[in-house]
Amino acid sequence: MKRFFTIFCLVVLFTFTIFAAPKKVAYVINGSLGDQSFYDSGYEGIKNLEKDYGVETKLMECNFDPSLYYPSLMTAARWADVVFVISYGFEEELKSIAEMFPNKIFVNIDTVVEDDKEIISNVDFIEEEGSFMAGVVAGIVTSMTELPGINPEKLIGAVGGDDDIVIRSFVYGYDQGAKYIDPEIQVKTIYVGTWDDPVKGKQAALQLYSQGVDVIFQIASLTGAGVIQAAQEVGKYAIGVDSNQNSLAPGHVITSMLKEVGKSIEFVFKQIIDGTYKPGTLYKLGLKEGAVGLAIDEYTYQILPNETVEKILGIQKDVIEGKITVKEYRE
Amino acid sequence: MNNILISIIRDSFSSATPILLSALGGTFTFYANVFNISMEGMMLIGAFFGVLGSFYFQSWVMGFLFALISGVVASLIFSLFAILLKTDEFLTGIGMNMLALGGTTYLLRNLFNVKGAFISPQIKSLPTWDIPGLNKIPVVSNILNKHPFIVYIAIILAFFVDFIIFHTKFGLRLRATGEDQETARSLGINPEKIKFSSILLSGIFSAAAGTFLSLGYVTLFSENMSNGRGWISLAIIVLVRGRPLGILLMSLIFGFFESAAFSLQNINIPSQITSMIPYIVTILALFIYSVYKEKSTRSAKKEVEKIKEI
Repeated sequence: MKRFFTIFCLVVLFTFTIFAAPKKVAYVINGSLGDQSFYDSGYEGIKNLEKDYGVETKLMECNFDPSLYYPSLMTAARWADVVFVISYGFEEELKSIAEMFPNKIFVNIDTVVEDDKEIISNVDFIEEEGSFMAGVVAGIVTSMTELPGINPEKLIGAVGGDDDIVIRSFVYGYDQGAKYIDPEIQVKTIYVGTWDDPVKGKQAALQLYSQGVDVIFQIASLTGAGVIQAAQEVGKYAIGVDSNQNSLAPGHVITSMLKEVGKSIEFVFKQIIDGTYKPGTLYKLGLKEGAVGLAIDEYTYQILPNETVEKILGIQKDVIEGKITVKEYRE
Repeated sequence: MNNILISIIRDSFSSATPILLSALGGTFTFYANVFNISMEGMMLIGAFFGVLGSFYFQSWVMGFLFALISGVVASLIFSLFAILLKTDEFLTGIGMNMLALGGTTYLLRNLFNVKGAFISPQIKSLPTWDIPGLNKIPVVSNILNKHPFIVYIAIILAFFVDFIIFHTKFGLRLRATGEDQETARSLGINPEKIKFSSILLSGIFSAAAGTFLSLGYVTLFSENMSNGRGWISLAIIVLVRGRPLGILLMSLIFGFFESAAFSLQNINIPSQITSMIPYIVTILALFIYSVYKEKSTRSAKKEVEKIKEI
């Protein structure tokens, strides 16, 4: 009888550990929804979890209000089994709360937060792979002199919001992509120094275009809206960033480099369900996982012939399969 | 290389125009001794309502009109507090700027359902002027021709404002009010009325500067798109002591270096340094300007003394 009981207990324990799939998922963000890119993309992923796995979800927006960071995260941690958090600005709060709930799963997105007990996992995007593809597109387009507005000079440009590590890693990948197409291509970069001034963005873009640049990759948030308008005005080309900006100036925005927060959330959640998830992991997600990539749609086909788009997709496949390695930016 | 130089000089007018316009408006309040710091907010309000009017009516005229009306309304609110209720002008200005930033962001999200930037083909931009005669001269035409019309108006206005302030009855009363309000009152001037008109003019000019941003140079509205230009115009007013022609000169210098700063990154100057250049040059220019001014006033004083001795 005693043995039977032990076996019964073991079976119960076994089934419990297997079927202890998380039921409640929280999404805590430092900003608020409605940005049509970063945060919204993450929320889409959360909504897909609801559909695909039948979990309950809760959203906590902090609206960049530091007084909300701690209580929001605390509420989320108490309620949920899995917390996806964009913790830029409150890394310390995340660490201390994670230590209070060591049995729950914390997944931090876009930045890397390391705690001593290795409770928090991190999702880091390989931006270099996405911007490599942007560089490939720019490199191909600047060589296609048959397109209107393209000159024979092998010059492409980038407009960055500020001179920081993230933007430099974007430019680093972009440069590699362009050089992969033709090693003679030169990249000219202007760092505007502000993220919300489209007027300055347009000035910077016009100066690049006047130097013989014909494609500009904008990596400058709202400042970049001016880059796209400059492309439209002088009849040249731009590449968008973060969200799909192809429709903002039809015929002039070739493609946009996307950061798919939602797909990364779905990717990590699948690991949790499969049981391969380990706390304290650093997930580096790139093209292969669909976490970064290009937005290719009817606007792209409007500018580029089908063969060219296929060539681009072919190179993308090579990067995914590991035939081409993209170097990561190091300070 | 030639192309880029043309592009830089051409863009220095674009950089200068919003600062010039709002500083010209602000100089009225400077002479009326109203401590007005609300140009930044009024510019943003003008930029937003310009886009709103232009989008709904699909006409730049309506956009421009909406912007001017919004400037008038904003200055009415400012005057209500600062003149009628006698609140502190500085605090009222801070309030206006916060209202402008919060209010336009709120309206942007609620009316157009977008966050960040609002771009639409339905927004019609201000027309550009093709000046006959000028369009035949090769390089000059590339630099000066086909700017949004408000650029030319702003430059003409600098001379006009100079004339109003120093050569008209209104200008005299404006300066008298600013010098000593009670003395002016004893001479039968209504200082409240003068102050109110100066705030009104400042609001209209700043709103027009806003339309240059959102309907002139680019055709879109983005949150906080005035981005400090109102503050720079305030600094320029104070530095040149309100002289409209000094404002014109300083804004052009500032505009040129702001525009040139981008291309300096080409020769490997770090972007943090290039962003500082327009400010440093403006202060240097001001230093030279004041030294020159000091000398000329000193020699003028000497001459007066000589005449006295005779």
